[in-house]
Amino acid sequence: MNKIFKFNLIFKLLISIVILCFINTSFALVQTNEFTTKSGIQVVLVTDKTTDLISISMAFTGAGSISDPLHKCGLSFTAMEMLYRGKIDGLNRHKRIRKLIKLGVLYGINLNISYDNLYINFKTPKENFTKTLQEVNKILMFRDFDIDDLNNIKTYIPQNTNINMSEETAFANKVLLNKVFPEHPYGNPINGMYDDKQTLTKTDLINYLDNSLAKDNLYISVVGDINQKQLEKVIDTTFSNLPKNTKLAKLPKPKLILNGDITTMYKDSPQSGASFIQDGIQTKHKDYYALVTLLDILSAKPFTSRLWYETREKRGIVYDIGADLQNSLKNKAFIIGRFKCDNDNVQTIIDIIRNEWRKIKEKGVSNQEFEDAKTGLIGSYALNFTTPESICSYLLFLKLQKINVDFIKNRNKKIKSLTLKDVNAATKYLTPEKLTFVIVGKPQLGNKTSINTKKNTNSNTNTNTSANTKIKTDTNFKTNTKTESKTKPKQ
Amino acid sequence: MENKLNINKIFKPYKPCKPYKACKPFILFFSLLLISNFALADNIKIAKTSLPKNIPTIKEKVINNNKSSIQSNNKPIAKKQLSANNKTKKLPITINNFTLKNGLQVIHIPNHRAPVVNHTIWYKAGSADSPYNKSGLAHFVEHLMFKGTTKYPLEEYKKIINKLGAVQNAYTYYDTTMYYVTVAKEYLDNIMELESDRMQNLVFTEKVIEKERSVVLQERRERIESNPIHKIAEAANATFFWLHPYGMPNIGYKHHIESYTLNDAKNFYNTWYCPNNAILVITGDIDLNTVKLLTHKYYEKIPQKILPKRDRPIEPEHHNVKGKLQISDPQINNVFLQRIYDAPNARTTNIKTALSLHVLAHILGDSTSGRLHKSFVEQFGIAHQITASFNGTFRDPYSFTISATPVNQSDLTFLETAIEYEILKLIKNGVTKEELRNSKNEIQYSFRYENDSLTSISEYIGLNLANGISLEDILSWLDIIENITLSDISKVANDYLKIGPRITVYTYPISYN
Repeated sequence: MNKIFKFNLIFKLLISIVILCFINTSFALVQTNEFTTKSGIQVVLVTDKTTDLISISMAFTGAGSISDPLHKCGLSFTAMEMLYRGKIDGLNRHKRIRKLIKLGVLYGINLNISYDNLYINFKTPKENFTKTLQEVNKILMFRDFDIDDLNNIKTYIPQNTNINMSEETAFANKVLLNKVFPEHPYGNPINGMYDDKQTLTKTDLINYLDNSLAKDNLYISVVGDINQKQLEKVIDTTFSNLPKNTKLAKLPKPKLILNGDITTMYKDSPQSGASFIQDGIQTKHKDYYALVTLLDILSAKPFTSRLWYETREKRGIVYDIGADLQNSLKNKAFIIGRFKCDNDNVQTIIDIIRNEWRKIKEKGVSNQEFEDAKTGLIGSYALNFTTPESICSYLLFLKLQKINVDFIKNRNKKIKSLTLKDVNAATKYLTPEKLTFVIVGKPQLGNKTSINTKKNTNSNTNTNTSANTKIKTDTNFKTNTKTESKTKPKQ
Repeated sequence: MENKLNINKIFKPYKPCKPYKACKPFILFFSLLLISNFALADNIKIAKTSLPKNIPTIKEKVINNNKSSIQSNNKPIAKKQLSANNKTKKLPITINNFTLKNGLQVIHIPNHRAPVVNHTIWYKAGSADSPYNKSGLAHFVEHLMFKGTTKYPLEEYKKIINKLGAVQNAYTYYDTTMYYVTVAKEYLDNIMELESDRMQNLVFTEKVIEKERSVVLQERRERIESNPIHKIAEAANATFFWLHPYGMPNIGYKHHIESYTLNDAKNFYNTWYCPNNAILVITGDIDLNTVKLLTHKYYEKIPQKILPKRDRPIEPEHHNVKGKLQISDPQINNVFLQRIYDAPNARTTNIKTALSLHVLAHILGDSTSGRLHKSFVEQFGIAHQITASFNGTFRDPYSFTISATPVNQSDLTFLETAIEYEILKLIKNGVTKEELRNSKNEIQYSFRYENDSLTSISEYIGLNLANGISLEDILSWLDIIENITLSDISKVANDYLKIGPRITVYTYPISYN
């Protein structure tokens, strides 16, 4: 009797385990829950009871700087700045921030514009989540802008940014994108053009907000101690007054124009900052992970990449250098890199970069390099989930890329399934001769290919690099000027 | 009357029951247990774990410094303590603390959000412990710590870190140098092996010294010489501190960096890098038993060293000598003002005094709610920004600083006078109850934010411990802050700000007239 009893127990236990294994739909590093609210807003939720704060990342897709109409470059940025810094419901920015701090929202409600999207991020004590979300809605729905405020915002140049004007690499990045996307808004600075911004009116801002912010382009990711039912109710109630559909114009697909040349912009600085670029492939491409693994070996991974070794370890001529696959833009991916070094060493580093590109194309990677990179990519994946903000940000990124969050449990399998052949085949995407550089500083260059430099100590610098490209820069190099993701998730 | 115990009431006779009914709760329990393991482990079966297979129960007790605040049973903090009540006084955190026989202090802070751990080791030696004619040597040694040991030469070390997918870095502060690694939890064993190895077996070669000297010079050019804000800070510190090594840059002066030798680096490493001069902080998804086993396995065998006296040049009396420093630079586009006051620090003074200064800095100079901001930025519009900061957790006394950017460059003198007036007003009339309450609430909220991240909480605890503040004191901060009174604020303002700044720094663009 006892033997039968024991057998029954073990048998039933095993059966239950087997059954339950197949029932669960999302094994993951974190338990995610994707749903669309009754009003059509897409949400990803991670219920985390270990924290008493709720982190939230929101994105309105298509509402970034690419939506700026012709001759109104900076409209989205200015609108975002008005919502962030301007007076809302009679309260100026400082008073609004103080109100939020009293709710425990210590870092405020952060608004950011990227090329594609408008982002909103904040963290709040869970007991004040509803109130904080209501504040967000108040900001997004506000239209009664003060004209004086608008005029101030249009001419606003943060003083501390001026004092930090030596960010040559960031400037080089801006100029580079302008050069390689001559006919597309990706080539315009996210914070807009000064002259265009002066022509913006209140009506422009209102039209932008009415057309760009709606339920059908709103994506939200949440991490915290809240369940789906509670969250859905709060979101639908709070954003009930958002219009259902956006009215954004469709844009042509961007085309990357790469000449493989070096453009320099003179700046009297002891060091030069550089940015370089070539074409890439998007996340859903079949060779995406093979290329990511290849780039890890070549240039993306600090301390161990070939590029790092050649420039820092072997020669000691650079402190930081890297290039990785930028895939967070909606319709374009590219490999973009940067470095900063003494003016004398710029040509050496450019030569090393091209040489490493060629070498890996010709000879591929070794099995050891491949295995190490693969293991590293697998092991580092968990680091996307160390803080609620990083989880939020990553899940939102997946949503915006139209990748189901179940991908999280399959991602490492994809990497594991790569072969050496796959990674070496991905070298076909590297184009050393098309690598295009922009250098800001006083570089000592060897063979310049297409350079038109102008000595100008004024930080407003105009440089024509081709007949069709006018690079106009502002002194307003704000940290809001960036590519899609705040912290690049480990792919 | 019978007084015998009714044994049948106490012990119910055993009856064999239907297996399914009896075992249903067990089936459910074990199934859920196994499922949760699958759920977490599905994506972390990356490599074989090297953790010991049979983990015995640790019988020794956890040594708790502050039993009222430290959870000794390793359970997550009760929800009621994390409730909406922002008057929570105690630090709502689970901390386990023990010390190995060789003196290594180990702090364990569990966090089971994701299967990740952060391993940070703090050596109680920073750039202020560098020899006087070799400023920045601590930072140079920090660079060399990534260059390999006898067991794991450079390439091998990098490969392992790369393979583990770990994120690592290091920072050199004035009083401490820290090395952190964040990694999937099953690799903690590997990380401890590497870290314990480089605590004792670092290899120094001329080739590496020469190369790394060049890299550090490159870093100095990028971070200091190309960056006006850091250039200003370097000059201001050099003026404020007459003798103390806080007056020298963390990264070192160029001519000192150029003079580093192999023996310099080796001597610094051999002097300060040992278990009895270190604190290990582990946060993340790992239990105390495992932490204890691993630390015993890898760190306990490292012998301790006799540490020299931490003999730094003492800052002399200033005899009320005050100074003004004017800085112009072609990379500077704006006028900037800094008023730097002498101030005590938490380690060498009454902790309440230090925390009162912290609260005062917040009330006076918070970038959005501070008095100075409300007056000069919002009300009068004469400054773009104005802040106050207090560096109270350094090992030795540092400073209290008020910094401002005037709207009009010509308003500089007026702004200075206005700041002075505002401080005297505060000393005379004190702060309001509302200001004090808001400040306390904000400080308490800020702790909740620190506690929400593996690395933030690790740094919060580790940095302060490494700077010589006891764990008991750190854990009692929120309590002490809650009990700070209006008169405490007035007292510290009177004691440290009334005398005026010892150094005032004016920064101008070249074009300033």
